[in-house]
Amino acid sequence: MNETMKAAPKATQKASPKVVPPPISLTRDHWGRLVFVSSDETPISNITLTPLFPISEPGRWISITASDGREVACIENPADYPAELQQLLREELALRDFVPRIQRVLFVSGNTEPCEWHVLTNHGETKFVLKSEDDIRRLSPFEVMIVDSNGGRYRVDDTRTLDRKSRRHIEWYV
Amino acid sequence: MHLDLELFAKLPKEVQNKIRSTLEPEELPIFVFEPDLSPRLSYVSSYAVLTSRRVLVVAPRNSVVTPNGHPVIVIQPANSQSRNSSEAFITQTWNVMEVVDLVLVDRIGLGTIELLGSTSRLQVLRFSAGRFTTARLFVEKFRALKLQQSIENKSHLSFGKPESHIAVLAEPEASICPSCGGTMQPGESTCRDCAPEASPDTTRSLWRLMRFAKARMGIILFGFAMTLASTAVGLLPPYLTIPLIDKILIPQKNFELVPWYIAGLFGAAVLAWMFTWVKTYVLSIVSEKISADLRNKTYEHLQSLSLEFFGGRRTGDLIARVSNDTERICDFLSLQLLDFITDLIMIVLTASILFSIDPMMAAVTLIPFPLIAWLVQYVRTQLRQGFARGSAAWAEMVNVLADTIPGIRVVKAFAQERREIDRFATRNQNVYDANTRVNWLWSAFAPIITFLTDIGLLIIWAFGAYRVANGDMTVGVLAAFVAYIGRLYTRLDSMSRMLAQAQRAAASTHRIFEILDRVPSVAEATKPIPVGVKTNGRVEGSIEVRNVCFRYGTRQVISDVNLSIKPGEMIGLVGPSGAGKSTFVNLICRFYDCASGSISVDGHDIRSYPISDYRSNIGIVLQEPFLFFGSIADNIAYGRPNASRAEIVEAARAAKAHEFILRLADGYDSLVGERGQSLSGGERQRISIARALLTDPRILILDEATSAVDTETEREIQQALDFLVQGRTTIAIAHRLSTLRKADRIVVMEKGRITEIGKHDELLGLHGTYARLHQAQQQMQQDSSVISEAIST
Repeated sequence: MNETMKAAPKATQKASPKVVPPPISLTRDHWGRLVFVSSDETPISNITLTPLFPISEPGRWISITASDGREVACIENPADYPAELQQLLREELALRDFVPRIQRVLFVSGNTEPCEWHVLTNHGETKFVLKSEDDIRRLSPFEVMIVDSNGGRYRVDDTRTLDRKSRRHIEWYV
Repeated sequence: MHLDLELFAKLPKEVQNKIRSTLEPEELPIFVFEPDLSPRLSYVSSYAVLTSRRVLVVAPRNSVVTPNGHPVIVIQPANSQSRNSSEAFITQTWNVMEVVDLVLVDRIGLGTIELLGSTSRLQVLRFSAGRFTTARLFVEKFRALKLQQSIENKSHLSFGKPESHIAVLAEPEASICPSCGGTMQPGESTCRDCAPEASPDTTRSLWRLMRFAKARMGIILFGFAMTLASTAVGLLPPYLTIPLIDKILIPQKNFELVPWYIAGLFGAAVLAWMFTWVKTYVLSIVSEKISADLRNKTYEHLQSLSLEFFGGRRTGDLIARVSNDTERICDFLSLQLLDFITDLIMIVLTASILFSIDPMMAAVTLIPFPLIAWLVQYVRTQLRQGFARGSAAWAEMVNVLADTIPGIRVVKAFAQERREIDRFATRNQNVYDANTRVNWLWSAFAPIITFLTDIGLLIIWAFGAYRVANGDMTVGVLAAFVAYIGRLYTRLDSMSRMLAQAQRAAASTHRIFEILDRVPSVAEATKPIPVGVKTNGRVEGSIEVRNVCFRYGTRQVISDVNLSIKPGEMIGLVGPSGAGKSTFVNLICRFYDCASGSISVDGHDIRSYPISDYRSNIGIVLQEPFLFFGSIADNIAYGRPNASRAEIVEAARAAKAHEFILRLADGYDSLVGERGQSLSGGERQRISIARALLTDPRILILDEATSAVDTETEREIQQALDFLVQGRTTIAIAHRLSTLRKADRIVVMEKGRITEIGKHDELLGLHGTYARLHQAQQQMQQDSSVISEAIST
């Protein structure tokens, strides 16, 4: 046990040795659920994929968990795996992370929370209620994430691409 | 080992002589203590002197009584040279061997030292709280002397003098202030920073801001020049109106010159506008810079201060100092001081202009000015006191709210709603009354200013009309006087606010310098030894604690602790609360320095290492883990911000935190800490364990890491901890002995001393404190299991 821990700091000192990714096999069963086959060939059905860093590094670090929440494997970099697997991962994660990208803010009911927002997203027009100013957070200088009163998420990839009015509404908070 | 001459010289001459005359040949004074209360508790100084042979008490004649309350009749020693009975002081003496012991009692605010003889109480010395520390030293020195003498007596019979015991009489060590953690000189009971001698002096505190202004002198001078220019330009228009009236309007000729005068007036207005703009802008930049410098400096200094300085009750206060106080100073510098200086310049310039035009007229019009200025100032002071009463009443009212709304369950449970409503109504009425009183004056204030201004102008009109009629003065000059004086009076109000604002700003400055003046109690070594040269800055982890004593104010928290810990060993530290366990670990972390003795890591005194390099070898898991606002990944990587994602995930896995992090919506990117997602105590603890793991500390401190959680969570955390302690020197403080089952040795501390050391089984065999604690906890566990069985059946 101790050995693994000692290995961790060493990894940064050496010029990152190429680690061979563990073989991973993912398939869909007849019900469309994902099945993971472990190295000892026992299939684990109904697994879920969870990105560990959904905001800071969404495409990598994908954890495969069984239905009881136990982690069975972790994909550090999908690019190490065959294209079919990458495709499967993309499909599955797209369903998991429904985060519409806000393209324009059409209307905001006021400057005091809670307030209602009407926005145009890449999934179409929608409205939501913003509960408090803490629910708008800046992820990087021009990236913003908004969580509405029901826990739904919206993102702005680059505030610079918004029109003046939309940008003013968002920058009021961040 | 004789008395500090300086200390002796501070005594009154008469007392010095008295002591000298009492001393026998070869008898040396060792220590003087000044009890400052008489037996009837009035403030009267007396003097207790410890000499190499005796205890002397020199006291004013009328204050000396026997322990039973009767006046003492002192029989002068036969060898005494003076037999003058009218002397103000009398001396009592006892041989050191005659006094069995000195007993020091702290009676809260009043301390006593009782001199106990073998059959009776010889004398009682009384003193106020400030002298407690010296009193304790006096007692300690007495005991040390007695010990030394009894050893000497014995050694006369046997063999040579045991040198080691002489050291008992060594000088008192410096100690740590109990309220701020600063270093205290021997003989003080609180450090000078915490018990300041007098209230701040307004002008002096403000003057200290100069230190920060010096760096920006150039721009300040420029701003000042602009102030001067803008004020001067502002005074130009009335001056131009004199010839306009006298040469053109009254004689009704030369009208072709009017456009020139109008142009001149317009030019003055434009210049005034521009100068004022530049001046205000430049000086607000300066004041923003100064207050930003102050904030940075204060925060930087705060980070260097000891942990103790940040006690719970101070947090809000410290935040206010760094934010509000600097803001107030900034406002004062940029607005109020600037206005005041402008006004002052204006008054001086106006006065000189007026005198240059017509000295006689100027003298008459300016005479009532100081009187009016004083009146305005007086009314302002009254107003300020009224407003202060109003806000005090307001605070009282808010207190009721703050008290009863969180306690609403109690109020309702005891059906005391009516009482609380009445209480609130009373306070509310007080607010109304206080405000009504001040409003009466406040509503009168603006009319008063106008009234006074009008009176001032009336004087000018009256005297001016008289002079114009006599032909001593022209109408134009009169008009200019009216215009100038009108301006002066309107500035009076804002000038009168200056005093209060200056006082407030001075108080703020004082509060900031109070932080800046503090000396960090843990000092960086002058010639630091690099930590772990061959091992990449990591220590091996052997700890050697030798004769460590630590004092906290007047309290001896750790006395003479010795312990050596091998690299990789796990030590369990148990004992009742207040036994000095936490202080002991704080000493190892070097949050304080020990007063005497030494702590070495890898064979070097920890004081010789650079502080931050040394601390980077230490990992701490506290009872209440603190998470900063930010993502979980940021929190885990707090001790090593450049850690890779792989390392973060690995540390979290090892700390058994990975699986619950997976269940959070944003995984490792979830926000935690204040304002962030709420995690359970066990989850927070596991994140803090991952944080400690990631820095790979060589020395690990677990300060009751599992005592704030329930038994189930404790089991989970324990697994993470068991992994964490492997291969590291660990000191674990625990109340639940079950968490120490993996410890190599268990150390029991009581009253600042180590009383038992050994393995679990060995300590049980001793039937001492540990065995008692163990039995009590076993008993409790059995009881609870009996209860749970009873519930389940």
